[in-house]
Amino acid sequence: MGIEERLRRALDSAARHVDVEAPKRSDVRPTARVAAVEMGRHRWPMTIAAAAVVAVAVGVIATRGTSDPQRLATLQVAPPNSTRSAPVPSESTTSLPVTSVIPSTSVLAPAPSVLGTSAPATSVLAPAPTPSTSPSSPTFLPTPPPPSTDVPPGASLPVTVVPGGPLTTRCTDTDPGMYAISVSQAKTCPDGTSVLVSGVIVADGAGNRYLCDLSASVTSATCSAEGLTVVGGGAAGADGNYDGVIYGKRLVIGFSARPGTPVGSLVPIPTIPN
Amino acid sequence: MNALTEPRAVEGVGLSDEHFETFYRDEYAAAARLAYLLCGTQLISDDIVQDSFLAIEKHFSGVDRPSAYLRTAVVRRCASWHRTNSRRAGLLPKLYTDSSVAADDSELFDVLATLPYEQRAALTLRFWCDMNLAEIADALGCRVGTVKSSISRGLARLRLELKEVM
Repeated sequence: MGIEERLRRALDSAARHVDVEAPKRSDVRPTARVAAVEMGRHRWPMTIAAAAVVAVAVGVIATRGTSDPQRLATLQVAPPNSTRSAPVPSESTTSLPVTSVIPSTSVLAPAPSVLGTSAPATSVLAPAPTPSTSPSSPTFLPTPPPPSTDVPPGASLPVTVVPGGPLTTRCTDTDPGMYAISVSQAKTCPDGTSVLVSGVIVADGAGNRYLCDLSASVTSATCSAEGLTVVGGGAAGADGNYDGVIYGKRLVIGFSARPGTPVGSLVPIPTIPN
Repeated sequence: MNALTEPRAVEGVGLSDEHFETFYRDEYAAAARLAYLLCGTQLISDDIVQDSFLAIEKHFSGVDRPSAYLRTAVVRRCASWHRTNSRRAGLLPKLYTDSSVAADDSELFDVLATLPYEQRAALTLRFWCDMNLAEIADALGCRVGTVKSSISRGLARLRLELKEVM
């Protein structure tokens, strides 16, 4: 018996020692490491919440020692949001046209500013020198900036959707979690309609960013698959996850709308509870 | 024995949660066995398999070949565990406990456990999963040539240690 056959039999024998009764799916839980990665997605909200708690505690401690009745009175009548570490932009909770939002990502390539118009398709997303958003190493990410909901007018990250086929990405080079995922559901829609989508954007070592996953709702079934232009790619979270809306041939990241609503009804997705 | 490489009824894009349940039931045993052969301890392999299923669940509706995705996830998570375990062995040698597969041919598995992970995984995927070189390369994230050399060197080492006649 050759070594190959001996190895084959030994592997078979060993495999039979395994108790392969699958636990109920509801009992499947991530290990501590995976749970930590999941928690990392909420790191900024948690950090801000912790900072707010510390600020309140410091304020309370500072006021205990004072005898200034005017200051105490001021603190007592201050509005509840006076302890926030940063002002809350009014755009984050109100409806506004996408074209009126202030640009926040300077690396985006220029593109037509009117949503819903057709855009030329290119091969990959434009390079963006942001911290790595690849899920292949989420535990080593530096503290990311808070996800922005700004969609710069006239700025875009071009990306190609092969008509009727999967989007060509380099996701197979990263993590098993980024296995080449067909985005055949990714559709563009006639102007005047919109489709809610979500997915993942990853970055390689060279800073190139790729649209790796795009899941659209069933309402996209009536739309046709053509070239998509990603607008506001900087709004993707630190882990690359994004939510957005397809309006015309634009994938507008960080915005939400009921399917079929006009572009003026797009509203930013509030991502950080202040 | 090569359940992870056989074509399944549950393949394709746009599958529902019900399909995932079916996929989970069908694939769990093969994935658990593969993880056990690669890690040598059922406690760890159970965690790895469940993590892998949790990972694929997020993207299940968009995955073309969920079985291949699962297999790749298991193989690479086992690789990650081996890296961590080897570091642990270096830092805490007194607390480190090596793992060994319970098998009839324990002599062979003792040698198999000493091989580098790439060789051990390549041999397991080749001779237990009956995967071809391209599939193994895809799962390990390396080139076909690397897989060939890993299998060749692994077999040579087994022959040498077990005094097999070539």
